[in-house]
Amino acid sequence: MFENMTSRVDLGDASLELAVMLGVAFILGFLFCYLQNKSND
Amino acid sequence: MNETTNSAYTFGTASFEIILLLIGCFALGALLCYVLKKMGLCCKKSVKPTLVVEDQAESEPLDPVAQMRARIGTSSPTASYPPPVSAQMPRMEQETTYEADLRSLLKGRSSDNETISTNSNSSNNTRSTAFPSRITPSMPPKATQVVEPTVAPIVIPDEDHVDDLKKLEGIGSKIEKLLNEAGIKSYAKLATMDRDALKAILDAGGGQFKLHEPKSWPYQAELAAKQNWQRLKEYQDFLISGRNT
Repeated sequence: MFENMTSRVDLGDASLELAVMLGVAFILGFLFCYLQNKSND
Repeated sequence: MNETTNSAYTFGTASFEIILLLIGCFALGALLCYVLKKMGLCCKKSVKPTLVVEDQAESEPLDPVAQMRARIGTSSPTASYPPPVSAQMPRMEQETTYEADLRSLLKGRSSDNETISTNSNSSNNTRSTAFPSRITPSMPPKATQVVEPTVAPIVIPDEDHVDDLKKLEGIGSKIEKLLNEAGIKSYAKLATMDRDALKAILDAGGGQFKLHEPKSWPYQAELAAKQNWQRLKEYQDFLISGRNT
């Protein structure tokens, strides 16, 4: 199954999922720093 | 071609790369927030304290420290009028030691002027000659004629009069001995000295005294000479707390 997943030629769906995951991680990092600064104030 | 590369590109490798990307994006978001905070575009503090300070600044049109700086000709980033709000925040760490001393001196001066002005008629303005190094404020307090004198005026003692200079913050037995050898034995005499003269005496005493800062000694001596022990204690506490911070 993994080989099939990694051997896909059409990676459109996987790229979209990865982009969403990265975006969520980016927002989480921003919120983490933001809330930490708020608590320090 | 894909067949050959997929054999090495396993699920573990892909997961590792994805996790690295996620951590990188997380750090990137945090970094962006940090940079925005540094630029002042993010995580701003609440506005209420600033508004309160602005109201105080409007009610108090003249900053005595700014006036003092203008009179003595010093230039600093906060010397402009109106002073920035950050300069008026009651934070010790935002004030330099010099500015903190100025504020303390002015605070004490406002209370001292009340007594001095009432004594000035009887003492025939002897104070201005006794303390030439003092800078008199440009605006005398309004209620000077109403307040009763609570502090005894300075009495110039004899040359042989010896006071315990160790009561002043920053003066120990060795420095007291050094000052006595230089002819400074009383509070009143010390109060007439200025910082540069005292520093010269300390420098002449040897390297062990070079680290001592005599800036506050004349004012402490002035308070001690006027028997204003309460104010002296407050000022010494202020000096100690400022040194500790």
